[in-house]
Amino acid sequence: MNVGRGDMHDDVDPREIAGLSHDLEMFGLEFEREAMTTRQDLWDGTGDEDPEVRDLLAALRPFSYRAELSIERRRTFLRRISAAAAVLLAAFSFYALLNNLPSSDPLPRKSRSDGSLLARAGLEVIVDASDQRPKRLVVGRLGFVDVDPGSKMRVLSAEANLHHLYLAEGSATATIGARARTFQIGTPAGMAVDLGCKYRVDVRKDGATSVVVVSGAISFETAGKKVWMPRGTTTVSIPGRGPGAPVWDGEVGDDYREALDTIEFSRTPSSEALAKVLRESRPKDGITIYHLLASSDETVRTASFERLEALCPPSAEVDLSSARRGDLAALERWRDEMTLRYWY
Amino acid sequence: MRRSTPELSTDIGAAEAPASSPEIDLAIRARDGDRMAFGRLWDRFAPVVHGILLTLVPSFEVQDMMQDVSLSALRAIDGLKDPRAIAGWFCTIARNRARDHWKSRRHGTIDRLAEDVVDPGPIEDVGDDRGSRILAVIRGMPETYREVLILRLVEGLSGPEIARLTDLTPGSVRVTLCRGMKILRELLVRENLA
Repeated sequence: MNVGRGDMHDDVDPREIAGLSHDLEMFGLEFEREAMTTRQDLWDGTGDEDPEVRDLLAALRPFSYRAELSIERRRTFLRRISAAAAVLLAAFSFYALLNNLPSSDPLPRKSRSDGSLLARAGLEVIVDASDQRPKRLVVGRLGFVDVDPGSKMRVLSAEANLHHLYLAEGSATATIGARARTFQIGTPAGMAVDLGCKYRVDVRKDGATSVVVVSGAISFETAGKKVWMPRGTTTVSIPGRGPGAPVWDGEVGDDYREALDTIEFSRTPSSEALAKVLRESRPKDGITIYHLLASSDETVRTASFERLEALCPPSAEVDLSSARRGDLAALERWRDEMTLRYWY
Repeated sequence: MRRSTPELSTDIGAAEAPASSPEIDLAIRARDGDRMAFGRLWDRFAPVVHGILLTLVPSFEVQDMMQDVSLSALRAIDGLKDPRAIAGWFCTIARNRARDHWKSRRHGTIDRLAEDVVDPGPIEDVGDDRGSRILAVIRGMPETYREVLILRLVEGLSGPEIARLTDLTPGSVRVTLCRGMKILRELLVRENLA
C-alpha cells in the first residue's frame, strides 16, 4: 500500500508498522493495516499538527453542536431579557385591563416551526386559522397544550416551578399533571391556574374568555376575583369584569346563565334574577351559589347563604357562623364537603 | 516519545458493549428517574446526535430536531432495557427522527438501509462560504464515510470518542476516517476547496 507523506506518525516505529502490516496481510486483514496508518492528528488530535486536518476543523467548526450551543447561550441571555420585558409588558397590560385602558397586541411576532414544540421562555405559537390541526406545545414533563388554529400563545416562563403561558386569542386545551399552581394560562380576562387537570380555554377577539374544566380543578383568577372550578364546570370572564360564578357545562339553560350575569354584573342586582337562580338551583348547583357568597351586594350574599345551607347542609365540623361572616377557612371547609358529596 | 501500538480488532462492525463506562452509569441513573443524570448523559451524546442529524437533514432543521430527539429520549429513557446499549440507542433515535422528517416532508429518497439509516438525497442548504461548501462535499460522500467524517471534522470528536459514543469499534472508525479522508481530499481538490 502506498503511504503518503504524513500518513504515518513519526513517533511510531516504521518497523513495528511494517511487521504488523505483514502479519495482518498474511491474515488477509488489509483493512486493519489501513487503519493503523491513519494519521494521529486525524485520529485523536494528538501528535504533530496536520495542517490539512486543522484547516478542515477550523472551516467546519461553526457548524458543530458546540458552536451552536454557544450561540444559543447568547440568544438565551437575550431571550431572558426579552422574557423579563414580556412579563413587564404582560403586567402592564393586565394593569391597563383592570383600569379599562386599551392594551397593545402582546404577540406581534410569528412562530416558525411545524409539529410539536417544547415550551421555552419567549416562544410564541401562532397557529394560522387555515391550519387543519392544533399545534401541540409540550410543557416539560407536566403535559401538553394543544393550541387550536387561529390562536396566539406565548410562553412567558418555563421554569420547573412555574410554567406560565399567555393565550392572547383563540383556543387551547391544556392537559397537565402538575403540582397545584405550577402551571398557569393567562388571558386578557384573567388567569387560569392549574390545580392538576385538563381544561379548555377560548379567547375571543375582544378578550372575553370561556373556560371549561374537563378533569381535575382550576382556579380562574383576576386581581379582584377568584373562582374555583371543578371538572365539568364552565365560566366566562370579561376583561375588566372578571370571571362569573361557574356553572355546570351543558346542564343549565341560557336563561339561568343570563339571570346569573344580571346578579353578578349589573349595578343593581335584580331580585327576580336572584330568585330565579336560587329557585332553580339543584344541590349540585351549590358550586354556583357558593361563588355568590362573595358578592358585594349584601342581599345577594344573605339569600345565597340561606339557599346554600338548605341545598347543601354542612356537617357540624363547619363553623357556620364563621362562614356567614365570610371566614375563608370555614367557607373552604364547607366547599370541600360539597365537593365530595355533590360535585364528584 | 514512543506511542503504544494502535488498537487492532478483527471486528469491524458494532463494538462489544463494555461492562461499565461513565455513559452506562449515567444511563442507569437516568433510567431510574435521575433528571440530572439524564442532563449529563445528553451533554455527552448531543454532539453525536447533532452530527448524525447534520449528516441526514438540512442544517437549518437540525436545531429543532435536536429538541425532538432530546424529548424523545427523555420520554423513553425509563424503558431502556440495556444501559450498555445507550450509545446505539441515542444514535437510533436520531436516525429515526431524521427518517420521520423525510417521510413527513415526502422529500428526497427514503432508503431504509442497515440500522435504519436514511439517505436524504441531495442536500440543498449550501451556503457561499468555504465551510458550507466543504460540508456539502462531505454530505455528498458515500453514507459509510460522511457520518464519521462529520463527527470528527465538524463536531470535533476524537476517533476513540466516536467509537465509544456510536458503538463502533476503534478499528472500524480508524479505517473509515482514513479512507474517507482520502476520498474527501480528492473531492476538495476537484472542487477547488483544498
